[in-house]
Amino acid sequence: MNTTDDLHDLIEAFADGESVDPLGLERALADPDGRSHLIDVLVLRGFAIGPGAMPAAAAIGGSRGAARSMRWWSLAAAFVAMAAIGGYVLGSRNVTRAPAPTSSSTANAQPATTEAPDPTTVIRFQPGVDWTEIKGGH
Amino acid sequence: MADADALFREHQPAVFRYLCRRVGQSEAARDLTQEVFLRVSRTAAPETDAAGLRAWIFAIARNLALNHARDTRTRTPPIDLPAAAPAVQELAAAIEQALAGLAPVDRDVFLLRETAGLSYAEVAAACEITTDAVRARLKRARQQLRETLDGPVRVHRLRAVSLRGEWTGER
Repeated sequence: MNTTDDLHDLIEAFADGESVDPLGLERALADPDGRSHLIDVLVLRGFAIGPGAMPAAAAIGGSRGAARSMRWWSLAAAFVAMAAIGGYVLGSRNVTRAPAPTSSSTANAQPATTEAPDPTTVIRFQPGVDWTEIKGGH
Repeated sequence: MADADALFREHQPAVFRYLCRRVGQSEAARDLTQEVFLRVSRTAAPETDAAGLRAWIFAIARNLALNHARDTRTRTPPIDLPAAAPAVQELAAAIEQALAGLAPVDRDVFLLRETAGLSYAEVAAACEITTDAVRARLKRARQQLRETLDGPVRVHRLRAVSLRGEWTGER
């Protein structure tokens, strides 16, 4: 322990949870200046997290609010995933599979509706107007 | 790969404490804290130990705080202590002013150590400086704060102190 600076360094390192030489610490704490400096460090630490640092209500609100927001997003994501999986499972269970077509049933098979629906638009092309025939052309 | 939810649960209180003091507004600190963990969840966490992860999270928090300070440079950050006693408000203002008087990196080093409880190695990683530089800057910051806040320190020396830095005064 040579100087006040060394003594203060050791006290600060100890207060900050860093590893220190125990004999040096013993000497530092035996010195009134070392003890006084330790108290100063702790008072300043109290100031750093004390008034103005984190209003109690804001801290609680902030922490809970953020956690709650995170939780809601997780729940929403889980709900969407569950709904998707549930829908798939239910859908696959409820589908009644049609029997494989036999040769006779294929032969006799008739479409459900035999008539084509009425056209909505009729487009007519006229030779000479909409196209021109060229000899030897394709 | 670290679980973002677990990182949030473990580090959110300390990140919020650091940002509260760093930006001076609990509302902004709350938004920035959310942003920190949004980035943590979007980015692949580095393959490192717990201390490395902590340093990584606080490096993100510090960068966001720096950006916030840059964006709001012209505005004076208010101290939001609506329900506090006048003496506490006065002390809070004195602390805020004393912290503002520190060099930016010294302030970050001090706050990361004192509000978030980071080790010297973690502070060094978060601020991209050496451990020796952390010691030197921390010492300088404490010396300056001790001088600037001489009156309040003398008063609070007579009150309870805690190694963990629990605030033992009025709120």
